[in-house]
Parts: sequence; C-alpha cells; structure tokens
Amino acid sequence: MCVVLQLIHLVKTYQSFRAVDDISLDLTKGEFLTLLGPSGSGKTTTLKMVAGLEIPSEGEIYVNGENITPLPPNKRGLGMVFQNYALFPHMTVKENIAFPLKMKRAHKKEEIAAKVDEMLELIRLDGYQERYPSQLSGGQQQRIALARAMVFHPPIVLMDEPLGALDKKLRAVMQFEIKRIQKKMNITTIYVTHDQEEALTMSDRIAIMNNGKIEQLGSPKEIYEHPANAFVADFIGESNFLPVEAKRRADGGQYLLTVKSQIASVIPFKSSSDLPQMADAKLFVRPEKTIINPGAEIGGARVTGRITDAVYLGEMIRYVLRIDEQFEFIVKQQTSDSNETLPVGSTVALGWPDECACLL
Amino acid sequence: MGSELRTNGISHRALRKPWQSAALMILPALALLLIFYFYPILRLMPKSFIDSDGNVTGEFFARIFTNELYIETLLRTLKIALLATAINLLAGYPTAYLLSRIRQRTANLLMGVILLSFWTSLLVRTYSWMVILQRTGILNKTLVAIGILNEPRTFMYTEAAILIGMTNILLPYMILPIYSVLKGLDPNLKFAARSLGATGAEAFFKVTLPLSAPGVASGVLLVFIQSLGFYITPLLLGGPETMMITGLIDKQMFTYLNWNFGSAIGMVLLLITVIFLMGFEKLFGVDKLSKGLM
Repeated sequence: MCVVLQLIHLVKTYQSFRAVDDISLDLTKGEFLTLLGPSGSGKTTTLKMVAGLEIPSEGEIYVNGENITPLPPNKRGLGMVFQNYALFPHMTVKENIAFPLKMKRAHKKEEIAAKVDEMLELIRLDGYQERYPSQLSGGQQQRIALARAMVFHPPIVLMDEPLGALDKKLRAVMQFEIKRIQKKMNITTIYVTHDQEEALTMSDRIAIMNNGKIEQLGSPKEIYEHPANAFVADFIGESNFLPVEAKRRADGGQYLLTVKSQIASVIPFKSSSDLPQMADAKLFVRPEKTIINPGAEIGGARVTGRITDAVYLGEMIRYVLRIDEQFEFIVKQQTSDSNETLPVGSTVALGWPDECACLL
Repeated sequence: MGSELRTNGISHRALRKPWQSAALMILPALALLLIFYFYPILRLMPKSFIDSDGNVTGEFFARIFTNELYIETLLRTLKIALLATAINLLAGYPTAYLLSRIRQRTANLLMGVILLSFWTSLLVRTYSWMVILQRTGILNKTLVAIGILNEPRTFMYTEAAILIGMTNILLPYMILPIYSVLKGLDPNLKFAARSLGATGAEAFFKVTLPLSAPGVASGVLLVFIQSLGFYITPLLLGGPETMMITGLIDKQMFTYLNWNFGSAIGMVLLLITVIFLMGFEKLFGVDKLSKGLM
C-alpha cells in the first residue's frame, strides 16, 4: 500500500488553546478517511492545515513523500470542497470547473474544455456548462464543487462538511454520489463531518476526534462494535453504560461483574482480551444487540430489568428499562409480525452475546 | 373600502393588497420629491426655452454651445468629475479592502474615523482646506521650512485644490459601498481560489475584485454624480480659471439675474447626468451586476 498523505505530530494552538493536539495519520492511495467529532474537536482545523489555509504550530505534513508544510495552498495541488460550496458566483459552471486548470497554465484551451465536459458527464450534469451557480439546486452546486476539486486529479481531496447544507433525503443521495465519483477517480479523500451516520456509510476508516485529539482510528465496523472508550461509544450510535465492578474468575477470560446498585446483580462476562481488575468499570452494550427474553442459543450474560417506557418507531420498538431499579438501559427490538409491544411495568430478562459487550 | 375596514375590525387589515401598502410606504418620499424637486424643476424648465416675452426660443441653449468659455466650463466639469471619481476609487478601494480584512474592532474604529470626517460640515472641511492650502497656509510653510520649496506656491484656486477638497469630502461615498460588498463576500471563495492553485494576487483579481464590482459601481456612481454637481468646494477652493458648471449657473442666476440662461445650463447639467446614469446602467446595469450573485 502506498502512503499518500502523512500527518506527523500535528499541533495547532491559538494562544493557550490547543485546537489540534498532536495528530498523526497515514492515508493510503484511494482511501476515504473521515474525521468525525463534535464541533470544536479540531477536525476542520486539521483539514485546513492540510489545505494550507492554517499554518501548523508544530508537526509536518507529507504528500507522496514530499514535505508540504511550508508551501502556500496554491502550491500544494490539493482539491478542497467547502460546506457552502464556495462556487464562484460570477463564473458559469464551465468556468468554475476550468478554474484550477487555468491556474495551472499547463493546458490548452481545447484540453480544458474536454476535461470540463468529461467531469460534467461524470457528475451527470452534462449540458449545464453555461449556467451560473445561482441557477442550480443545492445538490447540483455541491456536485459542481466536487468536480472543480477533482478535475485536476489532485493526489488528495479535502471535504469540509460538504453535505451540511442539504436536507436529509438529498444528503443520502449525495453520499452515494460522492462515494461513486471518489471510487471511480480513485482519489484519496479526507472528509470532515459531525454526522455519524454519514461517516459510517461512506468511510473506509474513521478518526473520531475530541478536544483536538484522535480518540479512535479504525474501520466503521471496528469503531461501532469495539469502541476504544466511552466517548467513542457515546458519540457513535446509542449506547448503554452500566456501572459495574469487575472481578476476574479463576478460569481465564471469565469475569464477574457486580452492578453498582443496592441490589447488586451479578452478570457473568467472558472477554476475548485480558482485562485488568476494575473496581470502577462501565459495561458497554449496544441497544440493538440486546435481546429481550433470550433463548438458550444466545450465550453470554443475563440480567433482569423492568420496562419503564416503550416507543413504537416503525421498524423497531425502543424500550427503556431499569436495571436494579436504578440504571437506565435501552433496548431496541426489530418489529416483526410475531412480537407485540411488551407492557410497561413488566420485568424481563435481558441478554447479549459476549462478543457484543465490552468493559470500558 | 375604508368603512369595510372599520366595521369588520382588525381582521380585514391582513386583506389589504400588497400594492396598497407599498403605495402607502412610498407616499412620504413621493410627496417630498413632488413638492421640493419636481415642482421647482417644472417651474424652471420652461424658462430655459421661453424668453421674457413668452416666445419659444432655442437661443439660451445655442449660447451655451457656441461660446467657447461655456463649452470649456462644461468640459472642465466633466474632467474634474472623472478625475475626482478615479482618485476616490484608487484611494477608496484599498481602504475598503483593508477594512474588510482586519479585526472587526479595529475596523469599527477606523470606520469611526472615516465617518467622523463624513459627519463634519462640508463648509467646515472646505474652509479647513483653504487654511491648509493658502499661500501662508500650513502646507506652504512646511514645504518652505524643510527646504522643498524656496518660496510659497499657489495651491489655492487650482484644479488640484478642488480635487483635494472633493476627494476628502466624497471618499466615504466610495469606501462605504465597496466595504459593505467586500464584507459580505464569503471568505471561503478566496480560500477556494487559493486551494485550487491561484496565487494571492490571482485570487484577488479573478474572484474578489469581480465580486466587489457592485460596490465599486455604486461608489463610482455616487461620487461621479455628486462631483458633477459639486458647488461649495469648487467655488471656495477654485478660482475664475477653474469654474465648474455649478459656478456658472450660480453666476448667471444670482449675479446677472439671467434666470433663463441659468436654467438652460441647469437643464444641460441634468441631461449630462441622466445620460451618464443611463450609460452606466447599460454597462454595469443592476441585472448585469447581480447576475449570479443572488
């Protein structure tokens, strides 16, 4: 695998505030990496440093082995897509897409026109050459911005919340479009978003950012199913965190978890990895991995809870339960013909496969 | 209709047609214009082609365009107005650009300084320039003291003096519209241009400058039209050699009491202004400038 982009110990400070705090990353050719995090987590600042629109306080950025840290943005040759598209309103679609080619001064007129037409065909907006950005819909404008950032085949395209301004339905369409174009041109991409669903659907890898640091870097599946810490688990999807005390049993990998409540229910737990003794741990389980009244074929833990609320959401029912009458626990159950909503107030057994839970 | 409104109470107010409220809203301005602008013009206009015996005549207009002195005054007025506009643009654009880029607090402070001179009486500012530019004024004294000049020079009563005064007075009219357009530009546009390979200068000339054209157009229009009809400043800072069209009108009407000829010159000035406005509209018309910007 050839490494296209390398961030080495990147730091950005504003006075005493560390907006980006020691970030290191490698991107391979054609990879789609998402920086995901709440606002103020440093993801956009990181992107702007790569683009050359912010100067790093410390650290270095390499593109294809070349140190680009001291270069101004126009010498870096990277494509960038902005949240509000940043299309030049006084130029037609054709002129917008041709802009980076003209700036390079390396292409003939006919060559530029051919490349622009090719891009427009790729983004399925052929025939819109002479329109102005204001005459296009939000989705069309974003596709033009995409074409403009990719027409000169940059080694890396940077996207700063490109779908933030679109409505939910269009966003889904555009997610697919961006992936299609990115794959077709095999362009290495860094994508910034605060939308976890977007990150999960589009990315090869996700870097979860918080307070200027990367909390976890991994594939969407890794991050969703094996979050490295409580922040990641809480940020991506809905999670249950049950405060427990973990004690190792004599036989390897087996633990006994005591719920930190008056009732102090005990949950057996089998971990694939070796854990230290933890007096103050949190048991993490996804609501949709939890099964109500599990059969014997589901191994792993059992705990009882009392249903305090049930909401029918169409494709699923969302139950809110209390474990040991103290800790809230959420379970999502797929709706099917056979099951009916369980009555509020009833006490049920809960279970989940051991590999779906972990201690944080 | 009025009684209907009253009998049915407030609910019917919402049913008032849009053009009715629009008409109501422009009514005060319209009344003001009709009374203080159109009425005097309508009274004055006939004088330019009707002589004291009540006969229609082209004599007054003919006099303007046959007398070398009057033609010269017309051309000088145009020249000074164009020069004043150009100087204002060259001085105003960089100022507006700077203001749009620095921190908001500093920008507000500098804007305060600019507006301070804007709010000072035009007469006071013109007299200040007389104090500075006259033979025994600050400028001459300083230049002689530091040895650049051997003896005081005449700055007053020249076209240069008029231009200096006019620039000082009209500059805010150039800066404000350009500043407001530049301030409203999405900073990402510049970033986008830079990231797509444009140097700082290219980003400015290809993106920022064309997008600030509406501000430039209104600034140029405001300054040029005002320059054409500038009265006090050219009168006080200039001399007989640098008379502008407004000075000519003033002289004809109040010195020679020749209202017919004075109003004919006034009509010519109005005509020139309208021609320029129309030409401007054709070249940089509202629809052309706003194309793609909305």
